[in-house]
Amino acid sequence: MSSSLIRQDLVPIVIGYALLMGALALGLRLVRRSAPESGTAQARRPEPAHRPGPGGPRARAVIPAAPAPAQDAAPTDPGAAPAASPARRGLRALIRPGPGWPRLILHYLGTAVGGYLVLMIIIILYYYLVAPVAGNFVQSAFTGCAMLIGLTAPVFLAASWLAERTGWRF
Amino acid sequence: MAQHPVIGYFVWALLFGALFAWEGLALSHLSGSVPTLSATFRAIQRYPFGRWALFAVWLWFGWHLFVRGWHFLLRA
Repeated sequence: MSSSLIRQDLVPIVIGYALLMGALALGLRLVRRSAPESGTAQARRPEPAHRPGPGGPRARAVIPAAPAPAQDAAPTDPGAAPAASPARRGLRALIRPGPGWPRLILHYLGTAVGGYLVLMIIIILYYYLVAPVAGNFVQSAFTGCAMLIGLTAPVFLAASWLAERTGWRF
Repeated sequence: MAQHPVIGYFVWALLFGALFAWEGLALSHLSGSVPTLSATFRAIQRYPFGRWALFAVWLWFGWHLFVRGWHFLLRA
């Protein structure tokens, strides 16, 4: 291994890794130190009415106000529930299966394909509208990213299987 | 190594320093209203497009780190 490789590639990665891990360790230590204090404070006072975040108070305030779909579908007969046809039920089960491996795989596939397409759109727009990068830029993006997904998908599924099987937490 | 203006490196250092400082502030709970980076990512991942965007960023990093300009270490 040449000294220029060490200086240009290895040293920045090691320094960046040390900085990142140091910052995370410091943050973790601060969180652990403040956890007992906040725990006793929460035990003394009741839980707050809302939490910050997109799914917080606004979502909870809006959802109950929305009309139920069953009322819209059958306004004259509120007691009768709309019976879904077997084909529709099968389609719904296919699109949104119950908890388990099919849902995990579907969720992963949706995320991977969606993310891949988003990145390819951005790269094509960048290449044709901003800067035509030299070399096989677009081709490398298509094949390289597909290769990354293909390499990591089995690892992700194996890690998920191990976590479920052994109870390990990564 | 190519010669670049020092100000360019300084801006990168400043951006990364600000990122770590902001995360440190969020983790220290000195300001209760600052979400941590992981809390921000969790909020983004609630929505399909957010998951796609994060996955695209991950792919972009992986592509640059492991694929672009990559060659076998043992190749002469």
